[in-house]
Amino acid sequence: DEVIFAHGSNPGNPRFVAAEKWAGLYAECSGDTVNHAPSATMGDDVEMLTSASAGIIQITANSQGAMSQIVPEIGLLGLPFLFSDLSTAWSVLDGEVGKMLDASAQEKGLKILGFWDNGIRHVSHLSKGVPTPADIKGMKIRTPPDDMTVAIFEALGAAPAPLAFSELPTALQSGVFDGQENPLTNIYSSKIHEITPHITLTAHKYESTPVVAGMVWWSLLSPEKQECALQATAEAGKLQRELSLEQDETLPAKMKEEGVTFHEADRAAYAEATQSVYDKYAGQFPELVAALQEAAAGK
Amino acid sequence: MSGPSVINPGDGAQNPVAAGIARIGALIEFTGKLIAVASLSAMFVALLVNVALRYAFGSGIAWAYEIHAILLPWLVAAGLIVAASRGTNIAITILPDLLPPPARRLLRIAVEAILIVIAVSILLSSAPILKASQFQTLSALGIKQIWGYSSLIYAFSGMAVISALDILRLVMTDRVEAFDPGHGSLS
Amino acid sequence: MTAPMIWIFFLLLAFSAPIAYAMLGGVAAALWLDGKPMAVIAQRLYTPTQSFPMLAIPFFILAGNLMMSGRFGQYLVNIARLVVGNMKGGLGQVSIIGSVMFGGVSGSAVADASALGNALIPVQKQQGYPRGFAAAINSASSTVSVLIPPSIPLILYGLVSNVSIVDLFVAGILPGVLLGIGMFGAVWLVAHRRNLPRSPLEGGFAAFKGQIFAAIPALLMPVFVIGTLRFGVATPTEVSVMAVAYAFIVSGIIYRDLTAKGVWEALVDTAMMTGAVMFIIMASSTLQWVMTAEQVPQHLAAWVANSFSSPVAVIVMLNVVMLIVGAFLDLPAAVLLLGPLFVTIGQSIGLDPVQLGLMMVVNLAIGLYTPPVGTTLFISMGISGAKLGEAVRALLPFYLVALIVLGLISFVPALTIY
Ligand code: NA
Ligand code: NA
Repeated sequence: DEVIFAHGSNPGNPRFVAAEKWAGLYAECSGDTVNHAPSATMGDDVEMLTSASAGIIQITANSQGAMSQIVPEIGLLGLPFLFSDLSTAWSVLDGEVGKMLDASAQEKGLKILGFWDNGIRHVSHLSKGVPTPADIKGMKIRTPPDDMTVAIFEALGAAPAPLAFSELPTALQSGVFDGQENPLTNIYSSKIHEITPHITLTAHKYESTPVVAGMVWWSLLSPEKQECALQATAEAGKLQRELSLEQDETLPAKMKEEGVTFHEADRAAYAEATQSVYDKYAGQFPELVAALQEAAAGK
Repeated sequence: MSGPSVINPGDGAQNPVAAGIARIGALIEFTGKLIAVASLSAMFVALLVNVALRYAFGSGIAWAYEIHAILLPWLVAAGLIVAASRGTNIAITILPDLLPPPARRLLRIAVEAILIVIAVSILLSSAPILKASQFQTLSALGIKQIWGYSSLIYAFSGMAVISALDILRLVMTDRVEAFDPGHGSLS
Repeated sequence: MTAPMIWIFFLLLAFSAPIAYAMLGGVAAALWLDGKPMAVIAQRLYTPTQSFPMLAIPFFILAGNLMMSGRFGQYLVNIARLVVGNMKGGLGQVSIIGSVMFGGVSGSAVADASALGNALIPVQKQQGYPRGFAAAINSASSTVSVLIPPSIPLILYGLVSNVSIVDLFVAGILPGVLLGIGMFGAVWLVAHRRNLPRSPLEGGFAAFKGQIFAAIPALLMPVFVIGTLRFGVATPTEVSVMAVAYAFIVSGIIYRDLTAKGVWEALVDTAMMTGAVMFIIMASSTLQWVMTAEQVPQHLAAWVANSFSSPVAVIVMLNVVMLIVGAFLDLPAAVLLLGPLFVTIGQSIGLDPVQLGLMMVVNLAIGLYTPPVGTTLFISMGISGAKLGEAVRALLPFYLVALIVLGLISFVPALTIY
């Protein structure tokens, strides 16, 4: 059988490298052939999810934002200033919380095989740093079409608006926005730091890369092959997380050379200013928000 | 862009079946016009207001960037229905131009039948996608994607019906209009 | 999967099935033969409609429709007549100048060919222009519209190949003007050889002063479009919306020829044109799924890299392929089919994607007046009553001009990359 593993990243990106590894591992373990389809050739993140549940493709390494349009619970991983560092986030995802999210996803026709990484998001600005919540008030900031991100910047008194990523460079140059927010890897690879050279290390929101299979395909897969897929996801995930971490550590130096000014952020003040976001989502998903906060605090 | 109606309301004078065909065709075309005008004006107003607000107050309406996700598919579907009703489709017409009228008529019938087969197979195979789209919500608008995807059902079932009406008309009359090259092209 | 898809596509095309349906039929058969899920089709059909930048297409069409439905079209012809009407073959030159000006409000060559053709060809015939020549001038000059911004083929190229639409628009101006100048020269030569009459505007400047001032706001539209894009006031989609508002204001307040019926018809026509072009975009998106699933672009790029020794040879080969494809397919369909493949090939020889985009549009625009399938050619022949042979013979100098401009753009990057 042929298994299509699709994602939106280009060669060189940690996600691409991990998908290559996944393809090798799974093919060897299961005897199936794997068609590794990178660079959004099977559509963007939302389309890949639709395709997976419709059985057009089998697996996609996707994004938290797109996935939360189908499984809103996934969006909770992006609660503001939730995780103090990447390793905390990973241990939470690999534990009980990950299982709860998988259960919600299965109800919507998607099976979560595991969580890879997508880094922590920071704010970049055309002309200045935003070290405190007061600095970000009124800032016209582009966000992805993601409820959580919009809620965070509304709580901070900024003016967030979602826009297609492809229009972002023109929109920034034309002053439609003062800045945007993304993980360093994305900022660097799309050269947005050349337009917005002031990056404040807010680390306001964590994002995972959920690896997702279509439920129809998954439930027809033999238990042995299911085990192969889970193993491959975990092992390739280990590599992907290492590469992510490595990029997070080496990128700032490279970007400084290219003229970026980094600013530190008062994360405690930011966390306090975005407390209302927790209240908003706790109303909708009381158990999951509590479980997440507890797990993130290391209890 | 306005071409000769394939379903000519004037045909109604000849017999009741032709009149029925003409009436159904006109009705389908009217739904297309209505949806086209409504969706295009709605998008225009939303985006214009958004631009104006942005320049005046620094921030626009978030859903202005999302409304096309539902309305552009409907604009396209409606445009296709109107174009199909008026018999304007981009095609290469070397072969029909070479054929004598009776053969050309048979070719038209065969092509319309193939179009119906293609449209129906697309309709039948779209079920898994429609099902998946029930779970997808647009983040700012809060609308399910199925409202956009259902435009495909409207477009392809509408075009299949129009092709079927065309076949009926071709079988009943022996008139075949000439192809008009300007139609539907957007070069 | 790719081979049966292509066979069935051409078969349906030959049997005069609409292009989008021919693509869908090919894809459906290929998926079915290969046991792949047919739901791909619905999914990929829907994808292009989810693109926000795609909205620029209906709005630029609408702006052009609103602008041309009123008095502006007649003013435009009069202004062109005032400027060049006094030359030998003046009405031919009016057609060229008119197309350059018209290009600034319209993104489509077909709209230009029917609007200017209906206004000029009957008068040209009255004044003794051979009908083939009248058809030739109109069908060739109207393609200048797709180079002067706004341009729908350039928007499509930008979307399928991830190139800035602003850069493409700016890069289109010079080739558009070059083409205009070249065709101007062609008409001048023919007019002197055949001793075609002068056609000055009766009453001259004094009589049409008022119209000139009235036409200025509409003529400023390309300045507005390029200005707002170039100086970064708005994104292409926003500019397209503002262009519609601009057209409403100009025809509503200045020309006062806006009626509810006119607006309704402009909206319906826009939907039809959008539907027609988007259907091809959507169908080719299903076709591309099959090709990427089999990695056709990569294989093709590798084959080109192995088979052609120099970048010059590759560029010549690309142009030849485009001339052939353009002879058969409508411009947007050809851009969508070839864009993704050619960008991959272009990258392998270091060809700038903006330059490639202009090469592609200039090249495929020649196809609009090249048999066997040429949209502006057929429209112009329809209006003038010329036979195909007459029109093609009269087109020879225009082909020569277009090929020279194409050669310049292909091998002088400075013309398109600033
Ligand atoms: Na133009
Ligand atoms: Na042609």
